[in-house]
Amino acid sequence: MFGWSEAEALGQSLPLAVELVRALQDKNLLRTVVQRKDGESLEIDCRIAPRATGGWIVLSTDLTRTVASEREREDLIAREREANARIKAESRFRELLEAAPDAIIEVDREGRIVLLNAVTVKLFGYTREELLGRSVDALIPDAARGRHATHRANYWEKPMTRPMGQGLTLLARRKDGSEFPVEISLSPVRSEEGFRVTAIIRDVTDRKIAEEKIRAANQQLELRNQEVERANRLKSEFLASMSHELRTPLHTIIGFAELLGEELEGPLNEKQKRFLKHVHEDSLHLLDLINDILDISKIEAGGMQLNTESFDAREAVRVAVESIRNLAAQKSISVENQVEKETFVLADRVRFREILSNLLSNAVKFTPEGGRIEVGLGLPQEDKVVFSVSDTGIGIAAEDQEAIFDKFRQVSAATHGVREGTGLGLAIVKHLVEMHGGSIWLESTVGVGSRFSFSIPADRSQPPAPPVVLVIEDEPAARELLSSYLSPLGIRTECAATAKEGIEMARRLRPDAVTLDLLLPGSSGWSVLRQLREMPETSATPVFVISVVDESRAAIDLGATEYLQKPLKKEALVRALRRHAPARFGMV
Amino acid sequence: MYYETILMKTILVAEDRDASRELIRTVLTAAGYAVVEARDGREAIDRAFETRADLVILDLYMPHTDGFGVLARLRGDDHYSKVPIVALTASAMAGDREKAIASGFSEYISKPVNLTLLRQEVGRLLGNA
Repeated sequence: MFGWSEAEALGQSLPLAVELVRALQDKNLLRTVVQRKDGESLEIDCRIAPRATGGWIVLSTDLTRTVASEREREDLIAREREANARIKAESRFRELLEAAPDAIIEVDREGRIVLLNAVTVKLFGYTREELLGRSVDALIPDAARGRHATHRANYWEKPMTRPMGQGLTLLARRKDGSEFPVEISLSPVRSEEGFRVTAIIRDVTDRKIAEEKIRAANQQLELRNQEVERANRLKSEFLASMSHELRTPLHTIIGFAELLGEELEGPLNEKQKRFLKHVHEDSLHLLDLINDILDISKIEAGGMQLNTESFDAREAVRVAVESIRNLAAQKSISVENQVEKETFVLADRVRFREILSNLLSNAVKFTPEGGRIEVGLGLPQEDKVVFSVSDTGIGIAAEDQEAIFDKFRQVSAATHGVREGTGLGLAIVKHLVEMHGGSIWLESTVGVGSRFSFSIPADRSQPPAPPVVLVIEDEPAARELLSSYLSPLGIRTECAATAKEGIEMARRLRPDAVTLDLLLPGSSGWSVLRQLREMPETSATPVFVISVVDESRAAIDLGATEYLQKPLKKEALVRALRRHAPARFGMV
Repeated sequence: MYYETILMKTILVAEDRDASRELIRTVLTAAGYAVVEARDGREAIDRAFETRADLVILDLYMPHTDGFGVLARLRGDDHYSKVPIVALTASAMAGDREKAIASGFSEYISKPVNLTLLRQEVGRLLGNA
């Protein structure tokens, strides 16, 4: 066609070369003009493709001007385009295949590998050539190989995309015979050559190692938990039996000491009594220690459960204060209870009392003769009530204040000359307060005294009952005036128009305070005052006598709390209420 | 004197420790009760049926049969189904008292015993407090 012989053409550089390269870029199809040997120019269409050995191959040519009809030519071009598209799609597919992070193989019905990617080579250690056309069994460990043919047959029964051997740990085999864990997912592929199956094989060695590590860690954790539980149980059992064993001999030591002290078996001389007292007191101290150690061990072992409920702390404080009074009286220490208003807390009643009792007995212990102890309420926190126990004791130096809540930490200098304690009381108190979600702190000055404060969750759902003032007054306008003074302050007013009604209501309502108009019809105000003072229900209730006439001396003598002259100003009344019943009116 | 003996209430004290038994015996004898002693659970059951005591004090942990075992035997008896039976123990764990009362003990006294409390409880249970 070109006029060259084969021998002439071979090795000759193609005058087409430049155009060929261009043709390659131009979708492999080119119409160009070449020169024949005889010098004549020919317009040709050609398709080129890269050769595996390098270089290019011109796949087809067409002498359009001389041979092909226009229609044939277009037909040809369409076919060429199709072929090109297929090549392109195939190369895209190749790229995808090779870029996949997993090994991908395609296996035909007979189990022969017909396609594989680079990862497969890398993963299994075979070359492409070694694997192509070879049975997939090569990749399966000896142990599983026997069953594989059956599995394959089953898969053809029901070809669908699914993971292989779900729930099992699958192993694959490398060329060198070593095995590694894999996950395989299978998809059926329909191709010109028939049904095939694509297997995507993921090496899960790293994941398995990580999983194994986690599993081992969990197992160890589980073991350690069991050990801790067992240790805790043993500790509890040990505590129970130790407590029992220690108390058993103490029982007879204390008992016989008491018995001897009762002198039922004969009188003791003073020295014997003193010796016996030492034995008795120290055996009681030993008992305290045992009880405290048991308590703190229970708390630390997590064996102490709080029985949280809502209750008015006032009552618990009262009981704790009353039970310490005897001990305090022995040292002429006065104990004041300022917790007079309703204070609802969410706490364990028994433990709350234990906290207070511990702090109170501590205060007694460290307060010298004639001192003073006070239980009160501190500034409330957002959701907590603050209680405080103050004393006029020896105080605690700033540098020791931190250590004082530690176990067995009595600040040695401070305890000089003071009867020893167990050294556990404050540690227990701190634990108990913290178990309630509260905190405990201390303010103290050496030689002046200490104030221990602790917070306990408040029960705000219980609104405190409003204070009540009973107004005994015959004039409606005056009654209304007093009501209008007090109601905006959250004080409930109850009114009585006559002396009889006033006394009856005072007995029934037990108001927090009474105002009394001296000029009542029926009975004089004075007799009402006397009766109020005589009734046990109202004998301590503040009574404010209100009158136009100044008879303050007589009123006070007869038991009035204060005398207020009409016209009465609001401020004067509120001041009087606050002064004489601060617990109920201090906050209004 | 003769009438006093007849009217004396009898208390059975079952306790394996000699010292503790002597302590309780001394206190109760001085308080005017007749005391019968037993050193273990088996002996407690024998003595109980010999004497038909008015009150029984059982240490909870004794050889042979413990306090709960003795209690079960005694409560099955017509006489002892109505007699106060007191548990005595050095155990002081939470729930011990509840467990004892639930088992059928009339009262629970923990060691170390407060002598005044012991006298009071015994007097109360015998109805002459």
